[in-house]
Amino acid sequence: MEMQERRADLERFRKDTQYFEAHREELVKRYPDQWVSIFDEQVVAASADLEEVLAQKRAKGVPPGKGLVEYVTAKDEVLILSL
Amino acid sequence: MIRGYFATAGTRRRPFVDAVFYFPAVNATLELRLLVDSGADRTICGTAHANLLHTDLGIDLTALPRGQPGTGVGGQTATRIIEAVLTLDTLALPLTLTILDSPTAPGTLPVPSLLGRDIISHFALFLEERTNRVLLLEPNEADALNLA
Repeated sequence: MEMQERRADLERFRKDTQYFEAHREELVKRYPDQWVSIFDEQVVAASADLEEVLAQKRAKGVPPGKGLVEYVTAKDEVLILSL
Repeated sequence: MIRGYFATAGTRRRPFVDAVFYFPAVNATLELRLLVDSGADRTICGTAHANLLHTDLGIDLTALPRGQPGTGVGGQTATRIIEAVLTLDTLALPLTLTILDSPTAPGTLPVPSLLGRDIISHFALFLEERTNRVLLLEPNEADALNLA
């Protein structure tokens, strides 16, 4: 796979993450404690079950591995990682 | 220079970079946003995103080599590893991606995917939440700042 193609993917993915951030509050209200998938700046799947989100993504024709998949929550949790 | 951003995760602002992983073994890519974690020794594919590798890309995680156990505050977690090429902005870097090999415990938030020091060490990391800046400076850019 060509580097140019991956850079084009990254540019489109950036727009998806920007869409997610710009609409986060709305997404939290609409899909609390659910997984959502954003592709081409649209919500293409949402469910509390991650496997269901991946199935919805596939059904909408989103290519495998493409698009943002994130958990949407308003819960406060302190992350202490360092794996 | 690689530019990231602060984003809200849960109720907190955290630093992220957008990334595309290419896996030569299966000729497939995975798009992830990575939490920048200067305390992480390695770049990590988090618990939920590991499902994407399996379900979306068809990678059999159980067939991948075992990695060193990942040690966090909550204890040790089994890992798998896979060779990948990480694209960040205009740069492509080869790496061994560590995949957390454990399900998310019920009632807890999934462990996010992390950009660790195996990649951060190639750069000077600049984080400033006040101005929403997350920058990974290349050596010549860092040297030009004359900070020392």
